[in-house]
Amino acid sequence: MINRVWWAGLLLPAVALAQDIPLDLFASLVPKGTETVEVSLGGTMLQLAAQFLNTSDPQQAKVKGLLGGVKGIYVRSYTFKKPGEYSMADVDRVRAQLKGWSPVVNVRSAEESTGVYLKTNGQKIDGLVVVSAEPTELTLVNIVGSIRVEDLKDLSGQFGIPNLGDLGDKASKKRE
Amino acid sequence: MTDFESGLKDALRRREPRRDLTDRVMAQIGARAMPARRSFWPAVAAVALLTVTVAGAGEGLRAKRQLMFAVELTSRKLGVAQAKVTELSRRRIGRD
Repeated sequence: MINRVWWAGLLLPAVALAQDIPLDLFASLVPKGTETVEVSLGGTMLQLAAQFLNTSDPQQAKVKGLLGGVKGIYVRSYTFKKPGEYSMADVDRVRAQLKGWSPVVNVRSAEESTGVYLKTNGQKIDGLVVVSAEPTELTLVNIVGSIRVEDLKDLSGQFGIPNLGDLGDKASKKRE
Repeated sequence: MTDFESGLKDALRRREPRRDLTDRVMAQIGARAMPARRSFWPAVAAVALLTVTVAGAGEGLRAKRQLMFAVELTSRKLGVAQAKVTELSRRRIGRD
């Protein structure tokens, strides 16, 4: 019994350090969400997933190329039926965990909030956190390990997602 | 009678089987039947290996789907963030 406790004590920090931020911060929102998506891919699962990527497919080849220095990918995404199911205090709890991270994007309004944070080590990016709070959708992404954000952005428009340039143009047309 | 004939006669003389012949024959039949029972295990091992392989493939495909989804979602959210920054910049430039 004591041996088991000892092993658990040894293993817990390793498990806890797998992601950069505690992913259970939004656990209380799960019952309120109409749709919940949780992805937890540690190193072993990423390696396994990479083996199943078909490199003859350009999109999958790009994704495989991204994984070189990635140690883990964690996603929590909740969709709600109506606005107001979560508060900005929930989002701030995530932001509070990111002290020492560089906020590269931090856009806030009364109803929405978008933040992109990077953990840097010199010129190297060692982690990425995206917090996106929309009226009926709350998403938290944590990529652990080195990643080139430009490569990730290159995938925009590749999965049927509007191209970044298109989005920018649409935003300006809307404003006009 | 020559030595050959007496030898032949001796060789062909009727002899009663040993009393334990039936038991020995039955024991031999039983011993030959044993390997059939043992061959059950390679089959079990093969099925187990196949199950593990199929389960591993299923796990791998699930991990791949999750990975593709996570990358897609991250990419989309980064796109939204960039669009918001672009929109804000244009607003500011418009104001100036």
